[in-house]
Amino acid sequence: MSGIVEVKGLSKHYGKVKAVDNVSFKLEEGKIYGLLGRNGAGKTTIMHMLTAQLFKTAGELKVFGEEPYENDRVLSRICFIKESQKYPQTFRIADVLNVSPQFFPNWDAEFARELAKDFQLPLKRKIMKLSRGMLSAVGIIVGLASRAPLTIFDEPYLGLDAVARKLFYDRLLNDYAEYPRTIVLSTHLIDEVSQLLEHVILIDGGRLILDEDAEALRGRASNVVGAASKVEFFLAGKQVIHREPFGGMASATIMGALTARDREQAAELGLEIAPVSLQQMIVHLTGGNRSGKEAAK
Amino acid sequence: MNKIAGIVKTHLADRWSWSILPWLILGISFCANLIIGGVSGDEIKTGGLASIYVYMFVLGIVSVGQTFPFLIGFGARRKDFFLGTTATILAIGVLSVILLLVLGWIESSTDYWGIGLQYFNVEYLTDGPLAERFWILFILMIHLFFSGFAIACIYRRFGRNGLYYFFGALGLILTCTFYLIGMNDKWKAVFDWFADVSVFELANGLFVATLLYVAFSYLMLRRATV
Amino acid sequence: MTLPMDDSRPIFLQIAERIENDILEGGLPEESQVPSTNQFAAFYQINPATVMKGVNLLVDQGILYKKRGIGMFVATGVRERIAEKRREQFYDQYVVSMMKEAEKLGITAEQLTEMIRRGAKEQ
Repeated sequence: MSGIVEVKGLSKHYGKVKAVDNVSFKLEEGKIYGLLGRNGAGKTTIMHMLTAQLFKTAGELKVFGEEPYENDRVLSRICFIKESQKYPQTFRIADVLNVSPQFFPNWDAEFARELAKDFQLPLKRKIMKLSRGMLSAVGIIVGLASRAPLTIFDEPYLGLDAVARKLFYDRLLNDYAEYPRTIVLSTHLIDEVSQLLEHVILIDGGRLILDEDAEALRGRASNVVGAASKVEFFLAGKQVIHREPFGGMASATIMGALTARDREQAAELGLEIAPVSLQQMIVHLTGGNRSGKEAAK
Repeated sequence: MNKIAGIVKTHLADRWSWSILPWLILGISFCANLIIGGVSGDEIKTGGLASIYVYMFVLGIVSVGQTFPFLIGFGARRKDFFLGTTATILAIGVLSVILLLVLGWIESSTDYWGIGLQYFNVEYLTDGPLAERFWILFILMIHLFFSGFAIACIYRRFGRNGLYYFFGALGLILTCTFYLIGMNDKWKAVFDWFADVSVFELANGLFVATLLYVAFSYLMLRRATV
Repeated sequence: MTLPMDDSRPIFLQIAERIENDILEGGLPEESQVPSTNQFAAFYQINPATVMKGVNLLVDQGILYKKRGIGMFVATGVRERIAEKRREQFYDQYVVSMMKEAEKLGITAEQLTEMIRRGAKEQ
C-alpha cells in the first residue's frame, strides 16, 4: 500500500556532517504520527525536505505519490507549522488569517475565528509583539483551520501554558475525528503527546531509531532493580538500554517483553520489575548512551 | 492564479512599505525644496525625485527578505513567489509613474508651483512625448526595483558569502573595465557616447538589463532554501 | 477530571479495563449505550484509534456489541462475567502475592486466616 509520504534512504549532508542519514519510512493516511527525538536530531531537517524548503542530498522522497519540489498539487495539501515560522514584520494576526485561505484550499475561516477566541488572541496585534505562547497559538490555529490532508506541527506548544496545551489537544482530537487527516506532531517533549499518537517515529543523530505502532511500544521496556550481581545475571541475553549503578544495587532498563519465566526468575532473584513509560524508554534510547542506541536496532 | 493573488496580497498587506512610505519620503523631500525655493526666491531645478527611486531600490531588497521565508513556509512555490512579486512590482511601478506624471502636469500647470521649482519635471528625463516620458520613468523605477530584488535573491540563494563574492566580482569587473578604458585612452569616446545617446535609448538599454536581472533572480530563487 | 493514562502499558487495555470498571460499578448498565470512540478520545485526550482497539477487544470478548448506525452497547449478563473474571484476577493479584509476602515474613496460613477475620471485623 502506498503511503501519503514515502521516504527511502533520505540523507542530508552539510559537508562532513550528516544531519539526516539514510532514513526510510512511510506515513499512512489518516493517522496521528509522532516524529520524536532530541533537539537537533534531524526531525526539522526531515520536515523541511518533505516540504521542499530544503533540498535532499540523497535518497527518494515522495509526498502524495509525487515529488514536492515546485509541485502545487503536493504543496497545497500540506500545512507545515514550524517552530521558527517567520512572518512579515508588519503583519498582524488578522493578516495571517486573511492570507491563509490562498494557500490552504480547505481553510475554514469560521473555525479559525472560533479558535482565535478560544486561545484569546488579539487579532489586531502585530506578530512581532506577540509572546512565544501567543505565537505558538497562531501556528496552531493556522495548522488546524487549514484542514490540510497532511498537517505537520513542529514543536507546536512552546510557550503554551497547561490550559492552552489541553485546549490544543482537545481541538485537535475533535477536529481530527470530524475531518480525518494525516497529522505529524514533532517534538522533544513526549510526555503529554504520547497518548495522542498512533504511531511513533524516533530520530536520533540523523538516524531512524524506531518506527512502530505506539501501543505496541508501550510496555515493551521494563526496569529491573536489585542487587548488582543478581541484576547482571538476569540481564544475560537481554537488550539493555540503560544501566544505573548505585552502591551495591543496580537499576537497568531492558527492551523486549518479559515472559512469565522471566518474571519468575526475577522474583526468585529478589529483583523488582517496574514498567517504563514511553517517555523514559525514548530518553534511554536517545540518551547518547551507546548501549541504548545499539539495542534499539 | 490563487496563489499568485495570495503573494500579491501578502506584499500589499504591508501598506506602509509599499504605498505610504515612498510618498511620505517624496513628500518630505518636495516640501523641503518648496520651502527652500520659496524662502530663497531662486528658481530651483532639483533631483529630489531620486528619493522615491532610491526607495524603490531598497524596497526591492527588503520585500524579498520579509516575505520569502513566510510564503515558502506556507507552501507557496518559488515560481509563484517570483511571479507574484514581479506582478506587485510592475503594478506599483505603473501606478507610481502615473501619479508622478500627474504631479508633473500639475507642476507645469501651476507655473512650477509659482516659484519656478522644477521637481517632478526633470530635464532630459521628462522632455519628450507622454508615452516616452512614461516609459523612461517606468523603466528607471523597475530597473532599480529589480536590481534590489536580484541582490536579495543572491542572498537567499547563497547567503552572506554569496553577496561578498558577488560584489567582489562586480568590483573586480568594473575595475578591470575602467583600467582597460584608461589604458586604451578611450574615456573621451565613452563620454561622447553617453552624450550622444538619448534618454529613450538609455531606457531601452536598462530595460534589457532589467530583463536579465529578472531571469537571474528566478534562477537564484529556484534553488533558494528556507 | 480523569486519571491520566499509564504510559507504560498499552492504553487500549486500560480503556477496556475502565469500561469494564464502569460496567461493574453500575455506571454503564447492561443494554445501555457506551460513549462513542471520539467522545472517549476527547475525554481522555488519547488517540481515537487506540480507543477503537480497546472497544474492539471488548467486542471480541462479547462484553460490548455494535448496533449498526447507532453505536456500542453493553451486552446482557456481562456484569457477572466481569465480576467473575475480576475475582480470578483478585486471586492472582492479591492472594498469591500475599502468600509470598507472608512466607517471607514467616506468617502461617492459620495466622493469615486469623488476620483476615480481624480485618473483616474492623471493616
